[in-house]
Amino acid sequence: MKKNILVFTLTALALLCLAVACNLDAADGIYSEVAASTESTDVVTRSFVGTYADKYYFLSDEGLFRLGDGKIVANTEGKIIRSAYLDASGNIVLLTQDASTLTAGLTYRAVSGTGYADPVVIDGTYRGLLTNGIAWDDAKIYKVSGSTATEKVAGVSVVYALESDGYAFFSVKETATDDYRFYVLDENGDTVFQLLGDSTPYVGFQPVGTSGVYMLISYDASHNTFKGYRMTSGGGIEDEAWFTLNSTNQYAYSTQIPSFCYTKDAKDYIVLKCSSYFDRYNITDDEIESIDKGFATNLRTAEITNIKHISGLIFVAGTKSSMLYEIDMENNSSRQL
Amino acid sequence: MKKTILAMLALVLILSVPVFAKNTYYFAGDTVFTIKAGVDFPGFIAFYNDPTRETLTLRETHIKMGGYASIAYQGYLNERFALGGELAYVFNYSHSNLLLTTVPITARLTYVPVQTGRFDLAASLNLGGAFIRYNEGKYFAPFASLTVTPSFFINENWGIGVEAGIMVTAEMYTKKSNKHDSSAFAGLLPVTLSLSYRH
Repeated sequence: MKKNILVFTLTALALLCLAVACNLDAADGIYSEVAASTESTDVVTRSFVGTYADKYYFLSDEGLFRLGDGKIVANTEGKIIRSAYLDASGNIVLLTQDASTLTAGLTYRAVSGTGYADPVVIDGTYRGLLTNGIAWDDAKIYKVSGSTATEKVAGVSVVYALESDGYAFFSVKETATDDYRFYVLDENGDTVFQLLGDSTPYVGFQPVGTSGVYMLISYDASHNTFKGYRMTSGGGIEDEAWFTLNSTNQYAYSTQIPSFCYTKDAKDYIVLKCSSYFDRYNITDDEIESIDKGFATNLRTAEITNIKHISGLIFVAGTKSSMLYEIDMENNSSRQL
Repeated sequence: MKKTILAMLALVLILSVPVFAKNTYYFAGDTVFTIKAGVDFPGFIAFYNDPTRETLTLRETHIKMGGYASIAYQGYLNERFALGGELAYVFNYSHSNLLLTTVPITARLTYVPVQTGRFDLAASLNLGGAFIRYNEGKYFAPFASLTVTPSFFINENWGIGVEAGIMVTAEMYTKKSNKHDSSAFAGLLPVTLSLSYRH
């Protein structure tokens, strides 16, 4: 019997040794990732829409929510809210898709007391609406104000759109020539500049302060890296990459890399969300680092939908499964709202 | 957490002195097969290579209460010590509701200071490794556990008991690794019911 026990034990230990030889590293420390996990909620957030009267609005897969007050406009079986815009007066514009026709339309809801007036349908069918109120259809780009959509760019077919800090970056094809063009629009929908474009699928866009400099991110498939490019109204998009992201990123191809820009201690930074880290590019010193501490501790493994500047060094991030987080770069911290 | 660990060690030390029973029930060559199932609670996570991070305990670990199941087979080397192996499956969910699984494969040494035939009080040390998996990450970690098990035998062969203790996995990265700061000891606190068959 002793022999059997010894054989069993030695076999188990041999299997252990074999397993140790096949040690598999995680992409990040496993327990580090567990400790950084964020409190999950039943609500799946699609985007952080904005703030009004100290209330936070976000779009979920169930409808439009106001944090603390719950759902304020619900999806219905036949109508799904695809995106939302909250204006400076608290009125909302929703891009709602009809489940049967698959066409989408805009509706405006004005604030009325503690609720909203009856929805007003804005004429036309639309393909997209950004959280800064810029919408588009098959041929034009509009700025929505109240219940009116004002034409801003005509004769274009939108390929994709990115937005950050009120600004929008559009890659379009001109209807007349079929040429690509890039447009940068401000929060009023006015063209800041436009330039001859190409088919590059940029996945990041960030205005850098008010300096007239913009960052674009593209995926370099040959090196499996993400590179940042500097874009200005006068110089267009520079050929040489501004910086290369340190960290791997799951926001490739289909979604925009969430980012924000801030200045602290006379240094300018761009912060970008990557898979398990935030990469922070120090523009002043031309250095990039991966961050998993401070504000990143709670958020580095969260799937962030978008980030918006609130005031000063305060930003709010929408997260897919943990609703909203406030990022405080003054104190280098973050907290769930 | 330190108090809990110290209490566990103190209990094991007390058990190491067989003052409760002078007679023994088991003989060398006796074998025991045990099935256990129960729950496990978050204990701690200590990032020992990162001085900026404090040791996280209980809810701070962001690990939720989970489940534990195992099978063990042991044979007595003499009247008080049994040696064998144990295969377990432990699962927990993180705050993000992602699954953390731990599959320890261990050698198990059990010391039974109290053995009356009807009642056993045993302390066990498990040493080995554990496959841990979370999200996209996989790792094979050194594993150790220390448990205490009072068991009541309803007849000659079958007994039921309650086992409690602490199990620790170590996720270790070298200085050259960019995950060096993520090196961690993680502790879980299992509490299980056990069903034993001795022969």
